[in-house]
This record gives sequence, structure tokens and C-alpha cells, in this order.
Amino acid sequence: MLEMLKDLLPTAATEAARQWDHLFWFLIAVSVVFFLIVMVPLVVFVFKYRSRAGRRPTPIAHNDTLEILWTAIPTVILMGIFAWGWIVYKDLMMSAPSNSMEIKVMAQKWNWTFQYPDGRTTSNELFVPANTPVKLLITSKSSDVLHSFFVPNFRIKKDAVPGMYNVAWFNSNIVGQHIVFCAEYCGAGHSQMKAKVVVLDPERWELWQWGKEIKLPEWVGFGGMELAASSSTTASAGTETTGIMAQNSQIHADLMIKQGEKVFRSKGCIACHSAAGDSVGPSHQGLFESKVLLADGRQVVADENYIRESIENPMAKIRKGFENRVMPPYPGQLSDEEFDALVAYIKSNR
Amino acid sequence: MHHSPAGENYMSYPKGFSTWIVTLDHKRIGLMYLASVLFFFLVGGIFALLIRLELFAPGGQYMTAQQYNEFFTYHGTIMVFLVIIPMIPAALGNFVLPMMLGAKDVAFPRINLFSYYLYCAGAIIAVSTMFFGGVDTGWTFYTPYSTTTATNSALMLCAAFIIGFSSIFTGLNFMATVHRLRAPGQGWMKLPLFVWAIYATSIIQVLATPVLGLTLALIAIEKTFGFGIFDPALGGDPVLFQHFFWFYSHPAVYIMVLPAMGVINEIIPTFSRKPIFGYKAMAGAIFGIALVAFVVWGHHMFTSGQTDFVNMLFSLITMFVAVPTGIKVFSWVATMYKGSLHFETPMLWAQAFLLVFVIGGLTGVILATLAADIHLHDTYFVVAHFHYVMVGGTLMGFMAGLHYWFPLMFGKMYNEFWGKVACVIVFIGFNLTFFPQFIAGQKGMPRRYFDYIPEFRIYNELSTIGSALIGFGFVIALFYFVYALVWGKKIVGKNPWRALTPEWEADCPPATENFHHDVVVTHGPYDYVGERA
Repeated sequence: MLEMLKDLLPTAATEAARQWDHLFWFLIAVSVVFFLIVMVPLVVFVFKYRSRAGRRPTPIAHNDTLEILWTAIPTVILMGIFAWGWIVYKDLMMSAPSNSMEIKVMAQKWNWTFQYPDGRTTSNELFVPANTPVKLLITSKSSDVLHSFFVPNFRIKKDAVPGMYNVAWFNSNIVGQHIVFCAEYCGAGHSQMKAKVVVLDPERWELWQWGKEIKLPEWVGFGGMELAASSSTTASAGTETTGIMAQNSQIHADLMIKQGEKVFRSKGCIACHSAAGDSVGPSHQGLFESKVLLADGRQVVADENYIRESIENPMAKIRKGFENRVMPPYPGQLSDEEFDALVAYIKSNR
Repeated sequence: MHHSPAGENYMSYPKGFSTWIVTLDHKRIGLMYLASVLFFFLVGGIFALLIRLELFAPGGQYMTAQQYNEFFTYHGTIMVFLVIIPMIPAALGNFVLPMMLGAKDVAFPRINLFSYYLYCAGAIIAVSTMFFGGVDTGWTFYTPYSTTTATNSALMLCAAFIIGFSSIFTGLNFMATVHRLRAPGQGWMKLPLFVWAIYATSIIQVLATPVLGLTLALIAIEKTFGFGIFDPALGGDPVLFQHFFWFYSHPAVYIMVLPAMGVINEIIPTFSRKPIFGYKAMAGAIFGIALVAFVVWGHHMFTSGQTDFVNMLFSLITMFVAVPTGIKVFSWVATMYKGSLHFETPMLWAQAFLLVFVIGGLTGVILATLAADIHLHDTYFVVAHFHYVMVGGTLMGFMAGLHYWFPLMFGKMYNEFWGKVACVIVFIGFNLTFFPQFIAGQKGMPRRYFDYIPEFRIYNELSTIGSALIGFGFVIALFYFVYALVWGKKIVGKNPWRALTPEWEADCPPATENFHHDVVVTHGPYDYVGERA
């Protein structure tokens, strides 16, 4: 019986997914109970109170106790359901540890590109080590449409929105290939926009990092299917010689910061902004993840989205003290790569 | 206002096609709406069957992905804007609402005709897009897809804009009618609950629909003047569009389902020969649902990137939709307790409504649960859920109402046996179509997929077989309705269901002026006290 139920959901391949399954079956159980609470009396009444000769209906028009009960009890149960849903949501979507491996997920019609911390990219195949938290920064190419990154085995889904970084995360202990669907309608290729997350054991992960051929692990669920889209692995320069991903990541991060600094100078940001302190515009020293006080009294955290928005559309969130300064908006003047570099540079000025 | 001479009724007098197209009679306008809605139900249904046919097996069989996308867009837009929204208020409501108040017509008969013409204009434009480039955006028109697609989304948005105004005018008209034209003695607590439901629906139509118009106008401004509103390439925010869209379209879900609840409120007491259980709670629940409807739109956007805190709030508020909905369901069942139940076709449809609507409602709670929705969002689980609510709820409520008021509208009776057969076939077909979609969805099959992986095949096969069964059931209904209209026996006397609401004081079919006497309300709408069987 329980085995049969298991077949009605994809394999749960993360701890959060297993929490999700408990919640889901609880919800189904509550639904079945309420369904019976309505249907059993209904069926009984249908047979028992069928009209027949001489039957006199009893005109009961209301019953306060009953009405209060069937208002109050569901309210309490619903609040419980809400609370559990929120608790699981925090595990599922909001709990990426700070030491997570960070992957940039770029969606475009109709494929997925994954960029690793060391700068190398793969398309339609995301390789990750097992038992390691992986944080996904999901976005869509700036001239593209919405997509949504959906991994049924991890029970996670997050939209890819042009110009915006959405966060999801997972930590899978199940070595194998896990299917990825695009879940936000994006046109003719929507149903073909599939990818896979390949969770590797330490041995294969080590080999893969060095760019060696590996035998892919088995599919987890979804019947050993083949992906129609071809996948390719491209390694950025120097991967073979410098070795493991952690070292390359540092090199890549430094490169990005340098590139960002270059953009910072060449696009003229430097005329008004400085790491040394506020000048015409606010300083970016220590900006990233700090709390920023806005002119309208709100306080926001300066994350990637805030930085990108403040470049593209500076009037959206005006820093307190800079109400009368005007910065020209930069929509469409920077490429996605230039934005990423600029954000990396600003992040580095902690 | 014409009075029909003795022996004539609203259909036969005045005579001639031209008197129909300029008619101000709410009954004739209701019938014209009914005919239009049924026609578009046929068109939208054909698109549904084509979609299901293609999905019978994985891979492309009969059409390209692009054609498939256009077909589901037409299925969605036609069914939502031209069928489900106007189906009960504009078609059935136009006919019976004024009569339930003992009135001769709605408050503004000319505006009533004008809304019908707007509906027709919008419908013609919507259908014309098929010949001018097609539309492939889905009925949700999400940006930036809808602003960058090569298909003719602009024309379809224009159609939706016009149909929206038709909806607003109908709502205004009904509100004024309920306030101003109630019969002497008909206080608010003596209104049939169908009137309460249409009244609440009208409020939503008047308050929410302008937001849709505004949103579509903003898209036009963006496209024309290049202001960055929704398009990120211009510095706009595509998620803002979703907020605007669902601010209308979530209340629109209640525009669709509240009138169906109103129909069920009429049928269950009449066929149980008992007062409705908890009249005040029932009326209150309708307003509770209408009110909460305005503040839950964000539950469509849990994965969109809106903040976690906002997600939490919308999940919390959405839970409260279930409370008044639960009150209604429990009260319907309690109404049947110790009644004297008659199971003619309208009551059979009402029972079918109850069963599927409960499933639709409970799966709604599952989807309102924040974590659960992350996995289930945009999968077939959602598709199954809203078909259980919109087809199972609204369409079955409409069928119950159509069978209930058919003798009043046309003075003829359909064949009871075939009525029941059609109901049972549609009910089985419906569950066969949509229940497997819950399983496909929770196993991960995303919606709007032209092609799917083999794992989901069995659920799609069942679903396609079920859809053919639904189609078959409706074809039977079409036949016995047409047969009844042409060859059916005339009803002798009035009020075949022995109902107590005022519309049944009229002849079947009513005279042009509705009633031959001034209606005075002396009893409640469901005061079935102590009568036999």
C-alpha cells in the first residue's frame, strides 16, 4: 500500500524533498477525511430521505452549534496546514547554507546553461557532487522570456526572469541523473526545454572536475529516458592545468572582479561612484548584503537584485541623502556578462 | 414596454428577427447570450478535444508544437472570457434575476443590450485573430512573451479589453436592479440566494475588471511609446504584469464560481422540499468569498521571485477562502438532511456539482499550502484543480440551472431519461479526464506541454478517453434540448418544480411583461414548511 503511494510521487532526492512528501501525504489525508465528512452523509441522505408517499420533510433551517463548529474547526486546521507549509517552505527554498557551491543558471529559448564557480559552463547538464549544498542563481537572458527551473525529484521550482536573479537550492544524497523541466510556458520549444542534474559520487566528481570522461550514473525515476537536446561541456581556459574546482573558483572570481572594475571605469560609473566613500553618488564600499536606508524611509538589503536594479533603473530605489542626484538609467546598455562582472566587482568591495 | 396579447409570450411577440436584435427585453437578451455562450462552448470544446487528441500519445501526432500552443490558447481564452464568465450571470442571470425580484426588466435595459453587443464585438475580434496571425500566449498573456511573440497577441488583448467592459456593464446593471427593483415585501433577507450570488459577482466584476483593462492599456502604451513598464529590456518588470493580471484574474475565478453556487442554492432546497440550511451564513459566505477574492492573487506567483514574506502572507490569506466555501458545502448537505429528496435532472447535476466541487476545493487548499505549491505549481495538478472548480463547479452548476429553468424559459420540457443519461456520462467522463491529471501533475508533468516523457503516458491516455466521453455526453444533451424545443410537449400550468421563488409565478414561458400581476413577496424564498412529499 505504502509502496503504491510512493509510486505516485517522483523519488525524493533531497532531505527537504522528503519533508515535502510528509507534508503532501498529510494534506492528502486531511482532504480524504474532509471528502468523507461531506460525502458519507450525502450518500446516506440520498438513500434515506428519498421522497416517497407520505414522507413529510422536517423544516430545519439552521443550527447555531453546528454552524459555529464547521466554521471554527476548519479554521484551526487550516492555520495548522498553513504553518506546516511555511516551515517546509523555509527548508525547501530559503535555507541555502553560506558555504553552498554557487551555480548560475541561465535560461533562454530553449536551453539551460550552467556556470560553475570556476567559470566553466555546461549546457543542459548540471554536474554536482552528492551531499553538497548547491545554491542556484537563476535568471533568463535579458532579451528572452520567462522560464522556470523545475526539478521534480528535489520538489523545487523557481522562475527564470530576465534581469532578475532568483534563488533556489538543493543538497542531494542520491547519486544519479535527475530530470529538469521548464515549467513556465515559453513557446514552441517549451516541452523540449529539458535538462538534467547529474549528482556524482566523490570519485566521479573528482574526475569530472579534471575534465575526464566519466560514466554517467543511472536515471533516478523517469524511466531511463534520453534527452533530445544534446549537451556539451566546455571548459574555460586553464581548467586542465590548475586542477580542482575550488582553486579555479578563486581565479575565476578574481577575473570577474577585474573585469567588473574595467566595466566600472569604461562605462563611466567611476565619475560619480567611488569605493573610497560617498561622492556624487553613494559609495559601493561595504555595500553588498548591507542594509540600505532609502529616501522613502524603507530599509532594503543590498543583494544582487538591488545592485542590478540600481544600475538599470536608478530611480526605483533612491538612497537617503541622494534625493536630488540624478543618475541616467542604463537599460539595455550593458550585456548580461557585463552586469555579472560589475556585480562581482561591487560584491568584492566588502 | 410591450405587453404580449393573450396567447402570446416573450418569444412569439413582437415577431420578426429585427425585433430581436433591438430588443430591450432581458429575457430575449438572456436567450441571445445563452445561444452565443453555447456556441462558443462548442468552439472551445472542439479545441479541448484537439488538445486531448494530440496528447493521447507522447511526441507530435497530428499537429506542430506551434499549432498546439495556439489551440490551448484558444481553448483557454474562449472558455474563460466567452463561456465560463458570462455563462451563468449573463445568460441565466439575465433571464431569471429580474424575475426573481418580481421586476419587469433590469434597471437599464439599453445598457443591457449594449453589453451584449460589446460581448459580440469582443467575440468577433477574438475569433478573427485566428485568421490574422493566431495567438500563442496562453490565456494569461504573461510578459515578455506576449509582447515579443510573432503572433497577433495585440488583437486578442483588444478583444479581452472589450469583453471586459461588457462584463462591467452587466455587473453595474445587476447591482442597480437588485437595489432598485425588488418587489414589495422583498427585503434583503427574503432574496433568493441566487440573487445574492449574482450581486456579489457583480461587485467583483465592477471593481476588478477595470484593472484588467488598465493592464492591457499599459501594454499598449509600452508597445506604442516604448515606456518600460513590463519589458525588462526597457527597464520594466515582467513580474509586475503578473501582479496586475492576477489582481483581476483571481477575483475572476470567483466571478465564475459564485453564480454556480447561487444556482445550487436554488436547486437543493427546492428538490429537498426544505428551507435552505443557514440562509444568513450562506449569504454571508458568498460575501466572505467575494471579499477574500481581492487579496489572494499572489498565490499564483509563489515561484515568480516575489519575496518569501509576501509568499507567506498570500498563503495565509488564501487559507481563509476555504472557510466560507466549507460553510456552503456543509450547509448544502445539511439542507438535504430530513428532506424529501427528488432526483430530477437539475438535482442530479447539483449532486454531481457537489462531489466534484468538493474535490476542487480540497485540492485548492493543497495548492494554497506554500511548500506544496512550489512542486505542484504549473503542473497538471493545477490544471486538474481548476478544471474541477471551473468545469466541475461552474459548468455543472450551469447545466443544473439550465435544466432547472429550461421549462420557464421555453415552456417545454426535455426528456427526463436522456437528461439523466447525459448527466451521468458527463460526470464519469469528467472524472476520467481530470482525476488522472492530478497524478500526472504530482509526478511532475508541467502544463502547456506539447510533448511529454513516456512515464506520463497512461494518465494522458485515460484523460483523452474521458474527454471523448464528456463530448459524447454533451452531444446527447444537445440532441434532447433541440428535440424538446422543436417537438417537445408544452408545459401545462406553471411552476413544474413547485418552487417558491418569484420567477415561477410567471407563465412558462413568461409574457413579455413577465407577470400578469404585481408580484408581492409575503414569504421567504425557501419556506417549504411541513408539506407532504
